[in-house]
Amino acid sequence: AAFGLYFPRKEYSENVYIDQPAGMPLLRIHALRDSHGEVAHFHLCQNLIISRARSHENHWFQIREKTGLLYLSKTLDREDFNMLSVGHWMPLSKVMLYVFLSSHPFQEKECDSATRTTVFLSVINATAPVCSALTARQLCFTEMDLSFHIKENKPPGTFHQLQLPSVHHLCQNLSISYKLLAAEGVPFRYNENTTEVSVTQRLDREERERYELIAKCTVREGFREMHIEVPFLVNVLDEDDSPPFLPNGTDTADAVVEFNRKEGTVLATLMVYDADTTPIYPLESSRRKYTGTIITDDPWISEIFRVEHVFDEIHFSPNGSQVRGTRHEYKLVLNKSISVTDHRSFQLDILVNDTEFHGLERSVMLHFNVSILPVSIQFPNTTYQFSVNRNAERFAQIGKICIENCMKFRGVNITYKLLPPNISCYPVNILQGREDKYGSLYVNDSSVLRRPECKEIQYTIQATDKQSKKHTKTLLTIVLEGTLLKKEEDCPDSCAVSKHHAECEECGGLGVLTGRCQWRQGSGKGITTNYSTCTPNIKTCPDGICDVIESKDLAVCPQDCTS
Amino acid sequence: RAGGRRKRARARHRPCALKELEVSVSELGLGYQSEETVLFRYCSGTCEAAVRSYDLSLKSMRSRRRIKKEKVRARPCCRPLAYDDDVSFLDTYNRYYTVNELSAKECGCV
Repeated sequence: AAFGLYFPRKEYSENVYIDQPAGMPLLRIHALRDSHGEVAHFHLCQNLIISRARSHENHWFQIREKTGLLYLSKTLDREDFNMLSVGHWMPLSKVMLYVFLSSHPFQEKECDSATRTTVFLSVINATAPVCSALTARQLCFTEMDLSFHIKENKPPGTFHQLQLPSVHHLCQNLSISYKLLAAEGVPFRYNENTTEVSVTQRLDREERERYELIAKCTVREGFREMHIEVPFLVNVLDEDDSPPFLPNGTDTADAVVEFNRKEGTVLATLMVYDADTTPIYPLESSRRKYTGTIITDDPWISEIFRVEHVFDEIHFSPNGSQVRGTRHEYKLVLNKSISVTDHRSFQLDILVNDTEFHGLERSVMLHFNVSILPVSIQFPNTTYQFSVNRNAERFAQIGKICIENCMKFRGVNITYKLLPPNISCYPVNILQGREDKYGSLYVNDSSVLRRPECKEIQYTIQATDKQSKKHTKTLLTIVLEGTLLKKEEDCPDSCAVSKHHAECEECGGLGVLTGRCQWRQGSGKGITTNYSTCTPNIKTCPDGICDVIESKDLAVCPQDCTS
Repeated sequence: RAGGRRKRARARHRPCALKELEVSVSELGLGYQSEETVLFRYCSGTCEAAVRSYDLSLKSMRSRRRIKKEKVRARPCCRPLAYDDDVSFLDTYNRYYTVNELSAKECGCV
């Protein structure tokens, strides 16, 4: 893409003083070319912007169309100064004007071209200081820093003049000379006659993106000699001139879908590197420039999978100096939860395209070997047997019921159900655990535990996958054991009410397994999560999680369930 | 000497009112470690003017042993009627805490 001419700086600044005469040169602006043969034409916007809000017609400043020299076209008298600083509360008035650039002579003098640079002129309420009153720093350099940006792959050209036009105009009897100090082999040249600095060859950002030089100025005044050194920096601007490539040549990855079948699961990731930089803002437009598309005509594949693209900056060291590049990550993601019965294997290709690169190798193909394995819904071979103390109270947690690999499942919803037992004793029930992975068995009716005819109860447990309706069964035996304890009087319903060790263990409460609450002894050191407390079951309360059984009744474990 | 006694007596019989104290958070004894200071307002004073027939009767019932085991209070008590806004502070481990109903706002005999 032809950007055309461009400015090597976004901003310029200079001071102007009262009573400076017409014809006074102020500063030089340079333009760099995009292609050979382009000729720069400069022109000023005919509006001055004063203190960011007010604008005023420009009567004072002109620019030479061919050379870019900004000069005073009218003597700046006190009346002009008042006009420029009216309503201005600052002692120093800053005037802003835009300089535009075109490869052909300007016809309409408009203010809306994108290629512009801003000149800030500080209008100082005093006459210009005499040369002898200026310090060496003021004679040699302005307050603006010498920092430039040059686009890579562009023809060489002049981008700065070290000599200050105003000082050169006023202080002709002073000898001011410059030098550009640099390490060997930098692609910049300083011309002593014109004091101009040029770039001598096409730059390559992927080779080096920053040059740090020193501009040295020597002022001779009779026998006195003063030296000033300031940094002179050149940043190389990037363009998309590098193709994508694969780190270590890896273009293939395995993507296995087994227990984790949930929508949003990242199955596999492949990387694509690029030596070019990618701006993070605006994010969406950067993503659009680097696309990743699933190549398929199977509607099932395009429904089930999607590609997610993230990128970040990495550092390359092509020849010693570090430059920035981009690492693109392409993630194969499940777009939908997959049924437990699905069973397929295939290769899925993703075409990555660097849309702004103009060479042939602008795309790479990524391959994912996708295997979707079915998972079986079945209980382990053994049957469940739990013993329950006859003194257990309502909401006592007996155990967990889990089909094979249930804790590894994601995106699979299993419902656990108890089928009626062999005798009419129904002391326990089952509740769905977190994320429907497992079932929690708990005492539902403690009065049944006390009935002598209920001793060994046999249930059938059924686990069903919600999506496929597949189900499996196993046997559960509940053995009631222990002798009934005499109930203490005046005990609260909830273990958590007891504040001391002794009273805690004397009483029972909702959720206890053996008829007695348990005391947890804390560290006793300030405010910690390990505090002393009375609980129905140290293993489940307080563990910081208000589980399904605890949330049935706040009195079971208020330590976990109080919000 | 008689004057000193009268002075002490007057101090003892100051009526229920809000008083304040500047204390560090650690001094509150709540387990927090922080050197931040908070304004702790509390209720102090006597409630003689708030004695009602209820109190006199209850006292009488107790002395006649009509009330024996129960815990009763036959005197009005100087307590906060309302509490100040929440107090937040940073502790020595750079964690913020907010304590509510720490400090009294209004006192009364209840």
